[in-house]
Amino acid sequence: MINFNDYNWAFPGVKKQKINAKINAKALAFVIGTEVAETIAADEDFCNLLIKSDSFAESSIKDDLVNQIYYVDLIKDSSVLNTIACYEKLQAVLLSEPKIYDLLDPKYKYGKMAGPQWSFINDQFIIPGEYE
Amino acid sequence: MSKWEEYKKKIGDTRPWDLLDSKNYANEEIANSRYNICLSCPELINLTKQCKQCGCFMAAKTKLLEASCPLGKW
Repeated sequence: MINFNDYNWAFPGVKKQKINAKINAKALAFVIGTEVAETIAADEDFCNLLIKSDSFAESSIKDDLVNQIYYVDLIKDSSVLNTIACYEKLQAVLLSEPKIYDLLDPKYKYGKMAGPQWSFINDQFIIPGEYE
Repeated sequence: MSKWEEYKKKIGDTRPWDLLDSKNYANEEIANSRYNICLSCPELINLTKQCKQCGCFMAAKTKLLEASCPLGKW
């Protein structure tokens, strides 16, 4: 079982601790259709685990609705690689067959700025609307 | 419907910052009747008055005219 909060860089003070511990990070975008549904910054190992999974599936562990902890199985070669405990939005995204992109890949011109509600069109992250 | 579509439908179109503009507010009668429905709903976390479905603080959400209950109760 992996607790996403242990790998998530988006908490105050965590970034400094991680850098001091020489832990590297990756920033990922989860794209559903052409919509950037969610972005995360997390430990590189954790992100690589997501990238190398074939798919994601509902876990047999029941979601903890009171404490808002949701579970997702990482599937590789038809077997469960691991289970993530995360927040509801990330669970919803992972269970919707997202495409995963590395936001720090220099081929994405605006990757470092992209966030939820941006679009991903023609292999680039863009702000929906006038910039399309 | 994908989990993502379900999630988006559940959280609705209103956002917390809509509370900053009083033009988005429902009248008091509507807000109170909505909140009373929430108070008797098993999906309400009594301690924080948050909805287990959408995670919103319902005392605030019920005040927004365009907001809706994720279970369709109001």
